[in-house]
Amino acid sequence: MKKLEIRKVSKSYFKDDIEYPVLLDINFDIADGEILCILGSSGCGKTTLLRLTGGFELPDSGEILLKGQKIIKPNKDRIMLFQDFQQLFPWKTVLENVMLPLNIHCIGKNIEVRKKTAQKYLSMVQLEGYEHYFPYQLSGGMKQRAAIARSLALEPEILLMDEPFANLDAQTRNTIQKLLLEIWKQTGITILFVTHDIQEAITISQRIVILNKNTKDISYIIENQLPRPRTPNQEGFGEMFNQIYDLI
Amino acid sequence: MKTNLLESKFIYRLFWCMVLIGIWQVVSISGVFEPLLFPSIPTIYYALKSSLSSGSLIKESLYSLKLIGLGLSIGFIGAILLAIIGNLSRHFNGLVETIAAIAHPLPGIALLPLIILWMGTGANAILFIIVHSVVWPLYLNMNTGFRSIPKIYREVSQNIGLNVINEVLHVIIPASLPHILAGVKIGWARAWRALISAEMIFGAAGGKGGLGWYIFQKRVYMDTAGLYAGLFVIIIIGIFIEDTIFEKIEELTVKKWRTVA
Repeated sequence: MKKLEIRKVSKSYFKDDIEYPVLLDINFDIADGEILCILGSSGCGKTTLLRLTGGFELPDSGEILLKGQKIIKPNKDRIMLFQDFQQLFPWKTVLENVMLPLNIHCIGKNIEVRKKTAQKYLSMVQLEGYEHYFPYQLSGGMKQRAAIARSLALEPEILLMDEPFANLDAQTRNTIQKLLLEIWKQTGITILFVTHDIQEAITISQRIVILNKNTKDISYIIENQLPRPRTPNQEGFGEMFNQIYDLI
Repeated sequence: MKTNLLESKFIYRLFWCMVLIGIWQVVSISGVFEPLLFPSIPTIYYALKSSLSSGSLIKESLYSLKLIGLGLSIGFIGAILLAIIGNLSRHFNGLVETIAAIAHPLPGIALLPLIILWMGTGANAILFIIVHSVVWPLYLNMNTGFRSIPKIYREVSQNIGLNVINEVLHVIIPASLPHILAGVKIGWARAWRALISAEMIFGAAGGKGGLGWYIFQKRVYMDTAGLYAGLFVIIIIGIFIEDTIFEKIEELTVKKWRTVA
């Protein structure tokens, strides 16, 4: 079943009245429960594509459909995870951050139920015991995990991840990638993941969409069927890495 | 550790206050100045004690504080409404920014002659001056605060589906609280000065004149000790509000969240 359809999407930016195309005629689908990576070098429009899917910006032409519905503005059925660690509200504790959208939308019939929901997702991202911490007391990786918990608690149709682990050290990134895959397995959530890190894309994705910086369109879509759990020294990993490296 | 530091700061301050009081007393005893102009510490102390026990100083202080509390509240609500509506409508914002640019540099006390013509010399006129002193710096600070909110907070709010009211309550106000508090401090300082000045000029209306009138009256009767007692109360209120109330609010909010150093 198709969850997300990206149909002939083009987008340009204007600077000093000169048009700079970012995306030209992009087409692809994401299936329900799929984890798909968009990979490309910086400036190839991958973040723009994600922001269009989030509804933060609108395409110049073409359309993006979520379960057949055209996307026109941000909505809680598509939650964006940013690279920026500041996406948690610093004036709220971890628990309050996760509970805020639940309270606003009355998800769960009372505070106790919502608190239970929030705690369930916080333990899913291994943050139990940190409920009453303020964001400044958390490390970068913990902040991103708390943000993931906040997103999951809303049970969105799709998670839009904009290089959320790019600012983490290699070891933390490794752990959090594994955690994400664990969550994906547990919840069956659909994930659209933007990265410029080839290794990250191969480690987590089922398919990899490679954007071409020069032609502004998709240069290749790779089916990634390497057996999990994936490690850089497993059979086929290196070949795929080289294949992608040549494409970028 | 933290309370120790605060305590030691307090004791340190107290130490220097005692030194200053001592110097005062020495100068007073030396007779360099006329005792009527430079009363001794005990004389001031007794003047303070008697006006506190007779209730007159407390009554005037409460009157002044009530006025300023009311003025600050009206100014705060006014400023926040202007800033929020301005945040939604660009043209409205342009209008209010222009008015603020004109009104902000105008000291409240400079408006006095005009206010007397329009509103007379009662409590309403003083209230008007206080609101004027508070609303513009507060509005300007809020406006700056709203504008300097990181884009990511706005996008997250949109994304998790906060409506305008919830965004204001849960994101915009807490995010710009450092600016808002700075505005309240400036507003308070201005309003407090404007209040004392206006009270001195207006005098008592209906038997109540406030602290400004109190010290002015003491001058008229050449009760310098009572005048100093009045000044002492004005200083104590200023210190209490700035060092205790504002400090406490900051500790419970922006300092707790580390959104300011």
